[in-house]
Amino acid sequence: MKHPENQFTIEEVEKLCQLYQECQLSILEETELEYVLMQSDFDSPLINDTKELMAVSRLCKPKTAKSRKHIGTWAFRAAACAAIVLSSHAVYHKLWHNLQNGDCIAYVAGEKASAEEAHKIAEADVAKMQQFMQVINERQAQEKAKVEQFMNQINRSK
Amino acid sequence: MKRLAIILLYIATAIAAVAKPPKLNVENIFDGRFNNNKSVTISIYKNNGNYYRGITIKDNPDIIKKIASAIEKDAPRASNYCDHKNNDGQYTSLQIVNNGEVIYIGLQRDRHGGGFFFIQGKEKAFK
Repeated sequence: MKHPENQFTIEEVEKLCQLYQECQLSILEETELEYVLMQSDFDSPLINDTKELMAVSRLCKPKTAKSRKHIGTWAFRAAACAAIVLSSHAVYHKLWHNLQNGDCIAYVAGEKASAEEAHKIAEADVAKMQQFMQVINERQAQEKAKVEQFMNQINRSK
Repeated sequence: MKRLAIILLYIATAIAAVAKPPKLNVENIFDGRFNNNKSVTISIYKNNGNYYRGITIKDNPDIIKKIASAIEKDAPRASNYCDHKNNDGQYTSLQIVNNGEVIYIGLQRDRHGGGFFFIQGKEKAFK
């Protein structure tokens, strides 16, 4: 392909620029002119104005069908990724928290207990836990009382 | 492909930021390793949004030692820690906050190499 400067004279290019600015060119001709201006070193106020106008018009161009399709494809892929991640998250939790409300599992001396026995063990364990918490709470209350007593003594001696 | 990986990573991070499991060392006690052990009784119970796991150990200081070690590893995360000895034995208690809910952890050690250990909290705390 010949270089644009060998195909067009500056006058011809200026004429095309004039037509461009008057919106007399088709889209194909506009694209060709844009290519010519990019490839050539023609320099004149009209040519420079046209180049600036082309840059602005390119920025303002609405998204083409191709780019819309591209965005659509990416949106679809992102949605698919989200669906995969969310479903694996749900499956993970389903597996981990596979117990339903009120369900019990128990193992006694290396063997799985029956549902009824598991319930009894769990209830006894929960009672043991509450007793444990009571001991801890009493202990903490005693410690707190000791600290308060100590602080009161210090304040009295001041 | 690179963009796809970034999106995937972004979504995974967003989910992780919203809610994450506590990943406590003490939870490993209930991963099934002691289910067939003759010296323990294990119970797992879910009721009214509460999640309870407990293990009672009879005459097996090794298991007690493993549990105590796991508790020590989780202790720096505790908002409340209590260690207390009385005539019944030794009581160690931890409270860890996760997803805005408190997880109660306790170990009671008797003088004969046995004990009772539990993890309890709202279900939300473990998600």
